[in-house]
Amino acid sequence: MFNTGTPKLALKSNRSKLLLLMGLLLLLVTFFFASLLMGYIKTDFSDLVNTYTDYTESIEHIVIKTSRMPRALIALFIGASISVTGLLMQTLTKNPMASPGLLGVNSGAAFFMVFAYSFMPNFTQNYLMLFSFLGAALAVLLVYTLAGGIRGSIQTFDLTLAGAAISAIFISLAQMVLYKDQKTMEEVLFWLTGSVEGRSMDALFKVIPIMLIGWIICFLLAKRLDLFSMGEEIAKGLGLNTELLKLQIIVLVVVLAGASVAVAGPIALVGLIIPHLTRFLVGSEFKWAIPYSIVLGAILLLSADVASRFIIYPKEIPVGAVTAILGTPFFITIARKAENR
Amino acid sequence: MKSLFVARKGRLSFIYEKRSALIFAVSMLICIFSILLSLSIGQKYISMFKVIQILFDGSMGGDSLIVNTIRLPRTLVALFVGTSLGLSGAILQGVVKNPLAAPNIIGITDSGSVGALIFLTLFTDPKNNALTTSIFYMPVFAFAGAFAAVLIVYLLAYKKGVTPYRLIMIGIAVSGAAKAITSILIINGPVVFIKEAQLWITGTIYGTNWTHVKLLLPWFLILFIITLIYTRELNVQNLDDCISVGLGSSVEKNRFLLMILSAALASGAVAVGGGISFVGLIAPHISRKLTNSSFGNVLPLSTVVGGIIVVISDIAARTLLFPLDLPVGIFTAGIGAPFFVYLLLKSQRALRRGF
Amino acid sequence: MNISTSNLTLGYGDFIVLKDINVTIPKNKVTILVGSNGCGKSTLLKTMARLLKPMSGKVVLGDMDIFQKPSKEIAKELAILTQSPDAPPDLTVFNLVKQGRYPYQSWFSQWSKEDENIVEYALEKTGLSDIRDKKLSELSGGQKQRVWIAMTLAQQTEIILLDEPTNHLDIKYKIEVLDLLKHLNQHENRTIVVVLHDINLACRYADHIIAIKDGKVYAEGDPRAIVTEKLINDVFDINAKIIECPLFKTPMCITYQNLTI
Repeated sequence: MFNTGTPKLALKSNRSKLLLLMGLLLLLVTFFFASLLMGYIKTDFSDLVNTYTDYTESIEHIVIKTSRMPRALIALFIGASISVTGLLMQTLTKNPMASPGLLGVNSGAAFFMVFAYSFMPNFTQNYLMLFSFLGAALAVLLVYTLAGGIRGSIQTFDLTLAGAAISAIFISLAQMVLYKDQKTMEEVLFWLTGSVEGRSMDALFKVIPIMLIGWIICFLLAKRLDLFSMGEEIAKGLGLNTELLKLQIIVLVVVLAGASVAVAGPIALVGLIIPHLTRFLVGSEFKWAIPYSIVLGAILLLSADVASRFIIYPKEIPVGAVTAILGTPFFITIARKAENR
Repeated sequence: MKSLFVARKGRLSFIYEKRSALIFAVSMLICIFSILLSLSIGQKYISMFKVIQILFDGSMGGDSLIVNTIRLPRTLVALFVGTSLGLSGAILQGVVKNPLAAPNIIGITDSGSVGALIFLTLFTDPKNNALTTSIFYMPVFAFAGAFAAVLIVYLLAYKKGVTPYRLIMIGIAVSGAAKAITSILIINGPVVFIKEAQLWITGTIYGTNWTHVKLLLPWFLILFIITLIYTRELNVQNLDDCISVGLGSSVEKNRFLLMILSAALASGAVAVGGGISFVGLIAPHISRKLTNSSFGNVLPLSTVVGGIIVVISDIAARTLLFPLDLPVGIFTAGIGAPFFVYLLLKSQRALRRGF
Repeated sequence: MNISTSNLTLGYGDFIVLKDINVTIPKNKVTILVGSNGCGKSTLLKTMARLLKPMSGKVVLGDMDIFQKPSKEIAKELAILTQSPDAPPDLTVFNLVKQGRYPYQSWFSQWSKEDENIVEYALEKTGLSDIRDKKLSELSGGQKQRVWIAMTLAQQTEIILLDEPTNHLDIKYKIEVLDLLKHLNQHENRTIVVVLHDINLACRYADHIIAIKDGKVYAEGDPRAIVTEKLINDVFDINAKIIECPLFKTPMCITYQNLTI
């Protein structure tokens, strides 16, 4: 799709792609269990089993049930969703440097979250999430309009800078609120950097079905997305309703990325890097790219989350900080290779 | 050529557009007015007339003490932070060839905060959360952080030359990493870090004094003069690279120098004032709207406009919710942000270059 | 001042576009480079203007290798106008044309009498004197192109290189621009080198045509001498009947694939 100059491993046969996917799924399961078991409080596999079969109120059981399980699930679903939205963004803008954060999703959600937290203390966690989701959607709308999207083609450079401008605005607004309300800052700090811990299972169950539906719709659109990536004019000529598809992509991005940010805050770079990794492994065909992105994204975030527990042990850092720092060298390499405007 | 003002003597020659010279003069007046306003407003209102008297007379009396030791240094810092940012933004927009560029996009602000937090982390006594050295040194660290970031961004973006696109992308990457490091430092530190970091990031000139002025003023002046000398280069940089080379300009060398100028100016401002936002973005915009894209007009005007914005924002910051002294960054953002959106929506075509 | 190439090989990465090119641009004439898309004519032009570095060989300007000469010196002898250059849309005509004086100015000599006179001349020659204060965004395609040409005129160079200056222009402006270039050649003795797509316009305006094919110079010379059916066939892969243009007496090519449609 793009000539990014990245080398391609590009497995050829469907069979090898399927095999690798199975292998990755196994890896995913492994990391999932690692996430459940590793951390400050030492637990082992029997603790895990007992939590669900023979629950006592021991600290290991409590930690697993209320902290680690939601956390692992969130890392899994959000890692997956962000990666898929990254894939969609890069397809939409035809630019390998695109990511959901480019559209201002993160800053819009951040501002609304901070605002709600500070001014509407009655909001439950669910309402907070919903509200920040609205913020994400609004930001995307503004960025898209500002970059001239409504009028026609979007030049990615304009999109990047429009996104940066809108992000700057929302971040300033958020700072204003935080300045006034110090306490909010303390409590929201982790979320602001991107964090998968501290959420309830309840919140997650509201979000998981949405994400699953999102993934499925994405998968259903795979053929059309393939067509679209050949070039907008060509796709139109072949009968694809490109405007509708673009709209569908944006809605999917808002829903998946917005939901992810609402739950876990802005997590950096995952949405940018995973699509590249996916392209490297299986090429651009969407019927493979989507499941691979899902699995790889989940693996990445799960492993980053485990790492975040040990980097400044015994303190934890937000997983968003880990992805930002580890992802930056990748980002820079990709930026240096990408030759377009 | 009625609209041009030309001065020649021997080999020396300068040209200036009359209209923009006029606009510049008017903005200087507005600037002086806002300075006087800033000196007269405060806990005790001192009339501007008296302020002027004090400035020229230097008499010792209660009022002159207020003006000279409290308000004047703060106003001057606000002024020069604003001028530095305004100028820095104008230069950067020329180098990057895009009017949406601002100093914080190439990582200056976020890396400055890393510098500031490193300072706090190193020099905070864990037992009582007090600083072990003078807070005076914080700007030094912030400056180092900011400036180092630009060098890093430039180096990483260099691949047989630097394109505006790569510069911005890598600037964003470095900003992201810097933000993450900042969070880690905050989380790792005592709770009080949160407040201090927050204050720095929003941007404040509270607590500045004559030392800060003595640091900032010469720094700004020197860079300002150097920039004026480079105005022609900047005009050429702003054109298509092929054309610039065709005109005989050393494009890469000039790009680097101009970036360093922009970075140095912004780093100075950020070191003293923290993450004051939008000034570097808006001041050049306003200048371009009032005149045109020729840098002979934009650079001086952008400088003055930047100064006005921060001085006025500071007045608002310390009087609007009196006796609270809010960070000035809130107002530069509060005024700047909506204004910016308005500007952009109004002239979307201005964002598209080329034929 | 002569410009010529010596054993010039150009390419990108592993890909060679032109190999061992030896051309001498005839002084004080209009030379037009033709060839199919991707044949390397733009690449050749840009290399001659030192915008691109060759893989091997030299470009000689005057009697020196162009890459050994300081860029500013070259800018006083040779001007290049690339395809669709971008510039801030709110720049005024005057300010853009003024940039052409860059190689002659310094920070203390920003607007000498000579600068003033030359810019004035450039504006007049291109018919822009009355709209000098208009912004680029307010101009038509033809007008914008004239502004860029005015800028190269302000550079006061003997040699002017232009890469497809008439692309995207309406017919009226195409002719206007080419007439202007011809005029500059005939009345001011400038050496003009243009890359052009349209073989018929090339035949009409060129004193010397250089046809490029397969990485080499296929033929060069007076259009009347070298533009034959064989040339059109080989260079553009299409049939043509050549007749003499009734207005300008230059070759006119009527191209076709099959005689029955």
